[in-house]
Amino acid sequence: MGIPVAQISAMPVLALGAGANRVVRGVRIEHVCGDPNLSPEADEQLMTRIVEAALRALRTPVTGPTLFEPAPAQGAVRV
Amino acid sequence: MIRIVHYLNQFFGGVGGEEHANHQIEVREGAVGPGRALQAALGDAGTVLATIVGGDNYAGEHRDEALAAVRRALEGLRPDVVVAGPAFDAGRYGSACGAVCTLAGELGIPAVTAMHPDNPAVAVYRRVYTVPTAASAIGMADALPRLARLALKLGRGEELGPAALEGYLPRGVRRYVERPRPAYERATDMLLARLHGRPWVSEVGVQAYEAVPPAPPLESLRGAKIGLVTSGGLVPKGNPDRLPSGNVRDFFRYSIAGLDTLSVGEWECVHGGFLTNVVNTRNPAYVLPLPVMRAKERAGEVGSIYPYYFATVGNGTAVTNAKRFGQAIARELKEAGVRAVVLVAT
Repeated sequence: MGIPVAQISAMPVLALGAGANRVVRGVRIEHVCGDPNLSPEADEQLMTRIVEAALRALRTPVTGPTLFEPAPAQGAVRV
Repeated sequence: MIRIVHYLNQFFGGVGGEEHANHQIEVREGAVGPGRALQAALGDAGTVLATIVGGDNYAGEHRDEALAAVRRALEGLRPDVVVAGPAFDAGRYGSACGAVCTLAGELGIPAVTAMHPDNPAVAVYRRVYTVPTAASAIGMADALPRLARLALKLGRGEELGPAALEGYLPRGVRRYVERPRPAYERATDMLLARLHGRPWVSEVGVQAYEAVPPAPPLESLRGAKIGLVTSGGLVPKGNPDRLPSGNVRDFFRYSIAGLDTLSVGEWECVHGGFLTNVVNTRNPAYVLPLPVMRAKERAGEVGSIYPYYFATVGNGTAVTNAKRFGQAIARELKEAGVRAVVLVAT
């Protein structure tokens, strides 16, 4: 029996298409787990939200390729 | 008249069944067993000079001695082409055929074999010309004429065309050829056929990805050992193992024991598929989020981080190699009691 893997990918469509079962949306290929354009504090919080999505994926039963979105930043407003 | 040497195993060579699988290499004059039907298929264009008979176990377990004997026979007989099998779905026989054909190639003698596409030897001897057959000797009558045709072509020194046209299994070899019509015309025709529900054939085979059933989740990550993997090509500064920037055939493991952060200047990203200056000058953790994983470890949200991370480069990585990496990494992690992995894929 395999080990559950949470795959953080900046191109989740490709990862899902290749059959990866737990895919977490990353930021950009050049900086998958963060964003250098943010303040260091916001960047670290972003990396934390991405990792937390990965850890959540590892605890979630899935039946096939599934995308996990990192939680939105605090203070983010849905428009 | 093309001169042929035919390789058969102990069964088709008429020695006996499994109890004779240790039969040593024997050279007989002329055609033997199915070689006679092969001779009939060759007609006047070719002649089976001699038949080399080898036991499947002998050829497998005493490979060097067996091949040395085959080499001596071929050097003496100097045929125009070597034909091995058909081996159908017999793995040891297929393996012996593949090895004999490879040896012939080394001696400058063209060679061709035949076996079922799922014979495990096909994957091992991909470069050997292999005619596809049925899974059992029921397919002998069907296979021999196709095998004879290719044997004659090869024996005459003719180059074979593409696998699909000539009737052999694709070898993974790509050659430049000129086509009579430009690509945009062929592509448009293909698209129109597809839209109209007419049959169409892709010029380039598209590999279907294997569907891997998801591993069950962990109820809780508290106390669990987590492994970190990256295909972002992050390696210690200096790239000590010379991980290439693309088309890699290896992965490496590097120690992160006792490390809480990845400092700029101590690591480098060697991935050749994207601009690496952000990772290299701002934060190596962008492709390996160690600092956050350590924070989770300190907070008790995860048990511990495996003390090594695995690095490869996801740039033009062949699927077969990627599978091999995954299996090897999983083996090591499972042995170490690691129960989940966070993988950063660029």
